[in-house]
Amino acid sequence: MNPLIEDVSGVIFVTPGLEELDVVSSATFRDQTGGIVDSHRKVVLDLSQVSFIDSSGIGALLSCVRRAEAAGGEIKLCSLNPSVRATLQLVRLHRVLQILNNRHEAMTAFGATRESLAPVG
Amino acid sequence: MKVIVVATGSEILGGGERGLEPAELRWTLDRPFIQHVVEALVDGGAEEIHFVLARRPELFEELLGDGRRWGSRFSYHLAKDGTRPYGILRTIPIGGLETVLLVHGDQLVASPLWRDGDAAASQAFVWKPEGDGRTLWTGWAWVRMDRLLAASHGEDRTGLWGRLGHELVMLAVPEPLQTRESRDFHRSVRRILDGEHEGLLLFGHQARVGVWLERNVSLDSTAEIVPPVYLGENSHIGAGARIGPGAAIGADSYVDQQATIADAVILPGTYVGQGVEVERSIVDRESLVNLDLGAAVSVPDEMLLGSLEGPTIAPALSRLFFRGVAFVMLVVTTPILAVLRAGARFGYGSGARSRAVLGLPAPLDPHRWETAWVSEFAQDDATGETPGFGHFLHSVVPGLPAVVRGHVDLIGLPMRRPDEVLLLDREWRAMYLGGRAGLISERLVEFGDGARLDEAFAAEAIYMSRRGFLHDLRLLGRYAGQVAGLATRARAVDPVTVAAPESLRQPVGN
Repeated sequence: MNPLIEDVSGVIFVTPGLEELDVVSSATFRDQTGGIVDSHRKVVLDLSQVSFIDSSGIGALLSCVRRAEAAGGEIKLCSLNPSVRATLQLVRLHRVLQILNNRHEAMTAFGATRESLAPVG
Repeated sequence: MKVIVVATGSEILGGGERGLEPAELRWTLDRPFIQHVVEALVDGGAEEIHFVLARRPELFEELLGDGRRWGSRFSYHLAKDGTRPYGILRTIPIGGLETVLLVHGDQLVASPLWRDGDAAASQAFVWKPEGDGRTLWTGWAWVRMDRLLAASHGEDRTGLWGRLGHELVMLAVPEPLQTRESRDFHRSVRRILDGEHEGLLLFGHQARVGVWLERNVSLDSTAEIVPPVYLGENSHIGAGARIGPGAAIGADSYVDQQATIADAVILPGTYVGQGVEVERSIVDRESLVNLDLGAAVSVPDEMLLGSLEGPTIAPALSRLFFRGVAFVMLVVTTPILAVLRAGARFGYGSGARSRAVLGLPAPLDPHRWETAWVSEFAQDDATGETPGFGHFLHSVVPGLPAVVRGHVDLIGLPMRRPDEVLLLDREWRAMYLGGRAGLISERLVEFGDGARLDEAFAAEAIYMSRRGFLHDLRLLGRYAGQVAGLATRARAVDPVTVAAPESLRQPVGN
């Protein structure tokens, strides 16, 4: 299944059409997402539909991070389900790329929302 | 009331071998410290609590959940860097003009004081240690969100206070409960037992003034209890033991006969041996922190101090099964092994060698490590392991005798020499030492040749969280498929070479 790609105020949201990011799907995911990451600076992977991830899936995510960094861009994750979130926390992936709770937080993290918490002068 | 709790899982200072545990999760009498903080906040009217986490966030989230249990709403925000975690604050959906209660989760200010403060004013809660001219910030403050964001940008906690301190009104409060430094933690427990911290209640039954008993405490009739004392759930106090004054015995702990515990904290799951005297210390299984000397030691004699975590049956049976598989493999491959060894003797192929690997599981103290010897055939390829028939012949077949002898497992964590283990960062090392090494690892099967540090760590962490009979069987099946050329593996070598993230770079051993 092809990923859903949305441009929201310059931030590219990628929703992989996958329920499991594992040894079977990770190569396809890596190829599909890698191309997007190469050509866009602000990418958010919306993993709300992913219910399982293993070492292969994590390797694919790390690969995306490296490609983003090489392209001068940044990649973030959002909307993880609890078990996937716990797995990524366990392997300290949150130290490598930012994990946000939802799309709004991801937009704020990229500084792309209208509401800004500008400091009072 | 909206609250931001910064609980970055900082290490316990002076905590010895057990110091890696997040300070906020340290068991404080009947529950983890952070739970005392949360319950005080909820009791004070907190309807929405945002936690900023960094180290071991999954432990906090599992413990606290979504807040429904307390009638509140909890959300979690992950900071990349635990020392400068405030950058994530800008993603928290709180308006710039709203005032929030900022809390650092390793300190607990007595509840009436911060509740009664005028939330519209900006206040920082400070305290002055006795006989000490300093004024210390508790880490708690009422502050407007936009000011907090401005003051915290790029700062660590000290820097944040340096900037906030000029803007906020300082309100003096009594000494807060603290958990980060061992001395402070001990003092905090003692203050709770002495009833000096207002607003914190223990759930245990107060059998008499100053003596709290939780459920299912076994107390010998000849044991002497001198208040104040706390005895945790399922704890056992043996004949003739003297407990107190100022003793806190954690849940599931066993104090053997004639032992003496005074002015000390015994953390859950600890065994204290016959006749052992513990005073002015914190004991966490085999680790003892003496507060007077400021020293932390690991006690190797389990008859003195030890852990009550025993072996479980299922993992032992699983290991037995895979040892049986290794035995069968050894019998089948013995002729091949003989041919390889004969060939090496006559100059065909590589010679056999033994390499010393760390025997797992191992204690945290390197002086107590033992090595195991595993045979392999030296490989000409200097790039290391690659799952396939060559790896099977060179690395697995000659290592089978070590598996049959029980020195290593067939499936496990990658084998490492002791010096290689010392190079791992402390968290990785602690995780590694709790596992078992094997000829075939998840890292080998998933990433094969040239796995990067972050991939290696991910594979090992995943394995440690999922290991068991079925998971090991799946890995064995995939390895067999790779040996037979029927299964592929994810390529570890990316076309783009980028340095590993700073936090996962090869660390300097400490």
